[in-house]
Amino acid sequence: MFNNLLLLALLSTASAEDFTVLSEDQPAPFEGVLLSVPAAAEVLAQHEEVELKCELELEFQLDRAGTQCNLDKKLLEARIVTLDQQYTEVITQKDLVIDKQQAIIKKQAPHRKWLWFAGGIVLGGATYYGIQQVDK
Amino acid sequence: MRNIIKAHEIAEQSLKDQISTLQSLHTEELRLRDQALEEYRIEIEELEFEYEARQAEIKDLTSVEKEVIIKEFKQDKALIIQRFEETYGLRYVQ
Repeated sequence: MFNNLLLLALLSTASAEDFTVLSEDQPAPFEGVLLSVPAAAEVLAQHEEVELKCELELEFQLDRAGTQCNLDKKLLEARIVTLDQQYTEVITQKDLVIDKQQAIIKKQAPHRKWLWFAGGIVLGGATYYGIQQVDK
Repeated sequence: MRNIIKAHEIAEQSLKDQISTLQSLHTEELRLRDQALEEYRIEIEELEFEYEARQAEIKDLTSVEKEVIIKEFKQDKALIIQRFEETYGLRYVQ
């Protein structure tokens, strides 16, 4: 055993937060819990270990959350790019279809216009001729 | 009639082109997704590796710390008193 002993105070003669350090065979000033030096070292070192582990855990969880966030961001970015390109593609194709179908309509339209024009002249001429005949 | 068929053919071709483009876009998105997942896996693996290494380091530090405290006690009792006061806020009584 060690020559030096540590006493943690607990009872009436000392306040709840008192402690003392004793040598071997030295009488204790109050009733309490006596720790060997290795046990006292363990108590002190454990406190520091818990603090360090807590800091490490916090850092680890933050890093992990950051990595997860980064992944989510990348996935969303990929989705956005795809949706953006999909939108552009659909609009381009729609425009293309509209242009081509308009071209078909335009191709068809002059022929009809010409028919309407010719029909108008014929109808106008016939009306004029009819009026003249009635007038005579 | 011929024009209606032509218009239909144009629409059909357009839809085929759209499907083809959407497929290639989907493939590209999957590639980006897999790449992101792989990067995530590697990063997490590195983090866990580092976490475990630092845990072991803390354990080693604790062992060293215990030895230091024992040594300190033998050399100067005031140091262990100071440690108890600072760590737990206890009051030293002689």
